[in-house]
Amino acid sequence: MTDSLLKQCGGPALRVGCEKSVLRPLGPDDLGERYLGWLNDPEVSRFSNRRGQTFTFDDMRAYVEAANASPDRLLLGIFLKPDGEHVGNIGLYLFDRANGLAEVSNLLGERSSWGKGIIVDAGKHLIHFGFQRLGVRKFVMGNPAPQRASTFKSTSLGAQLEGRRRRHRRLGNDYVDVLEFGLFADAFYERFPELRDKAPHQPEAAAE
Amino acid sequence: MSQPTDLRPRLCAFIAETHANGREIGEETELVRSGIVESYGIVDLLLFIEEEYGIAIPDEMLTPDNFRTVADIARCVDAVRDAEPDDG
Repeated sequence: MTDSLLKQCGGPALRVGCEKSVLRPLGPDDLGERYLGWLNDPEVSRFSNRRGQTFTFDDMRAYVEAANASPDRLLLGIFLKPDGEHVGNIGLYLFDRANGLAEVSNLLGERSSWGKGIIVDAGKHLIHFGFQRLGVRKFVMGNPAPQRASTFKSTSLGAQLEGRRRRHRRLGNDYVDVLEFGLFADAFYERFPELRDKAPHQPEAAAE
Repeated sequence: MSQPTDLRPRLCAFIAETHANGREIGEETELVRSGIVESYGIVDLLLFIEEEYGIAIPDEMLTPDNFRTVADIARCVDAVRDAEPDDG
């Protein structure tokens, strides 16, 4: 049986250090009311596939356990520096290993953390980890066209607009276009040259 | 509706008031790298430009290079205006 991607990356001790946060795997202590509240917050889920659904503790637990056992998904919590407040999650999905393709998803549940560049910071370092440690060749990302902040987040990472899927996703009562972006390592490191020679983050001993 | 000739000073004033706690913003002040404006802040700028000048920045131009400074934003707006067909 193939090891989970998390295990391949060092297991629960994995830490990806960012400028504003630390990314680490989620454990049982992280699965509480706070996280569940995000999943069921309609404003947080407004542009997500979770929109309209109601989640239970069992749903949340099953999702995290499945992600942690998956051979091609890495789900990490976003814990702010310096106090370790859990403000959201970020995931990497190696959906096409043969072609080196991956995508990144995120959930920034704590509204007080919105608008502070936390997702771009976390995304930047997880993408760096993907290029350096996981052999990702290209990241793909997409968002509904009206989500202009998401468009800017993708281009801020160096991604280029590759296509537009017309009237592709429902948003409210309308079907809106979805923008598709692609990100290669050369464009990423051109935007973040300080990361180019930075060694991929190694798992370290857990503090607790 | 405002004319684009006053775009630069009005953008500087708008950003200073809404994103910089009154700190003076010049036409060459780094906006994104400095953290003064991030992705949600860009949406504010887009709405301001659209409401005040009737100019919608297309998705293809939503890049950090086009929003690096007020001067860059103004050049981006000029490019959009220049690409629009004349009315007469």
